[in-house]
Amino acid sequence: MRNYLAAECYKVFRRKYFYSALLTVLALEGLLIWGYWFTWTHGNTGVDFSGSLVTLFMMVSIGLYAAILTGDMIFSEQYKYNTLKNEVAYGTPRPRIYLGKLLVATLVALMAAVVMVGVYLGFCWILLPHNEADSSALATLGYVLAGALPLWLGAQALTMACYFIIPNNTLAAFVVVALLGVLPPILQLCGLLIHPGFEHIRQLMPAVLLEQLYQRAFQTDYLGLCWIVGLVLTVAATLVGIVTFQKREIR
Amino acid sequence: MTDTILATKGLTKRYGSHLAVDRAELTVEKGQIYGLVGRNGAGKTTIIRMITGQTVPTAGEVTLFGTAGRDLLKLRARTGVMVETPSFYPYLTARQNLEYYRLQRGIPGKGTVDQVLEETDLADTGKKTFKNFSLGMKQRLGLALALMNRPDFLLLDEPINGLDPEGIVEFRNLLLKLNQQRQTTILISSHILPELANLATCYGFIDNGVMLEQISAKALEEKCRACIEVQVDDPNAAALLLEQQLGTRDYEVLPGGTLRLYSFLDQPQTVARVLVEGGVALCSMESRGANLEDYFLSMIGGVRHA
Repeated sequence: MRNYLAAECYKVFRRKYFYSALLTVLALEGLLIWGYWFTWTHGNTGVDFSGSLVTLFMMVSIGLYAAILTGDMIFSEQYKYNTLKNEVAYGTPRPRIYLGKLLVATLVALMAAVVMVGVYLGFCWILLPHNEADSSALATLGYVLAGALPLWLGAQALTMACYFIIPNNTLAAFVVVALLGVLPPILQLCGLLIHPGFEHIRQLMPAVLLEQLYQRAFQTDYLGLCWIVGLVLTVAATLVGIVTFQKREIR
Repeated sequence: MTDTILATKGLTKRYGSHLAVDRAELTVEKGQIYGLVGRNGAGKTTIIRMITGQTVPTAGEVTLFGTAGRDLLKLRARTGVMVETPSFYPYLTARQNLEYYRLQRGIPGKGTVDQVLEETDLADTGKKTFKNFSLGMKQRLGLALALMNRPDFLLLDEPINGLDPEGIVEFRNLLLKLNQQRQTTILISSHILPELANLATCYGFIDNGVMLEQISAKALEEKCRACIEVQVDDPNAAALLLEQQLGTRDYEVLPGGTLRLYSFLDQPQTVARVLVEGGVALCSMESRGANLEDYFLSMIGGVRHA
């Protein structure tokens, strides 16, 4: 497995894809921070460090969809380029191929998250004014990230399962968006029109849990729910993905 | 005594109602260059895919290096495989693609990549990415990957597609060198039968998913040897005449009054005269002999695209 992980890291860090995606996000972050700094330096006293963190809390949902990018980076359209045959024909066990890609995708996603959050926090800390609300805002950030982490992991596992199950990467990405982003409003509608049970299911969807994380800060039972949902999604998606991939004909 | 490198037993693959491979029995012995011959869609690639684990067989068993079942996975690391068009990451160079697979396979030594690039004449491709390679370069990179782990057994599916005449000769020489110097056993499927005839020491013929015959190159050569085949009323008398009048024993008597003469090939009129004047009734007489292509076509029963 160590060899497999080393090879995947070698591949991903030699592509422009990772760096260009990260630079694009960092540039957008820079624009946002510049906006805060510009309005503050032009007399808007309502702008401060703790206020800038609220934007970060609201952006944690983006992490769900970022899994599509990191998954694509690692899976690298292997069905399109038929490169999986080089791995399977050498006798690499299929579960190792699957788990290796999932692990590296998770690693890359975590690295990107650390860089993005770190850069945002660092620049906001340096450029914006501070007050007594900073410590509670940082504590809330810690809580939000602790709740978001398992849900991001679940999204990454779901994305990787879709890339392995669906031979077309674009279609796989659409399915992920549909499952993570489109399904919750559909469930909400079904809850209103058909049965309230659908609304209960909606409350367990990763996107809905992430939306409510900030409002439900420091509720440990809610944090526990995020971890249970995230881990169940991770295990279930990975099992389905591996079982399907085991049977797939590799061309 | 020879060691069996590959053996398949009742290997079958069914796609819905289509039977792609039907109970294929195939044996490759150590040191052989095994030519798998069949027309398009005969089942050659499906057999190779089942051997490499890309396709799960519907029934039957593959034994590699004397081992079957779950342990096959480990033994596949002793093989080098090139199935159909070589596939690599288009945005990586030849060196980067090979380095990726070297790391993945845990092959020690960074020099390994340079060595196989040298062997396959790709050492000077520099920063050119795989997507900009010609078909011949792609084929050579596929071969480089197959050779990187110094395999004991090479499986090559249509490996000379896209190679220019010079490339084909180089490729043939490389395979012969691997076979003779490293004792690498090779299974090679190809449409280009004359080229296969230059390499193979054993053949397997397949049509419509059924293995028709496995035969050594020597036995095939014997079968295809040029001769004059005569049908006579008394083969023993004919044989005596050939020995006494023409002084040759280079013939064989077959059942049903058939006699094959392997000398005097350019003098059929002399042979006919000797037999007739000796009182033997000559029912038919024809010149025979075939190459690999003729033999394969006669086996599948007609002129079809091989």
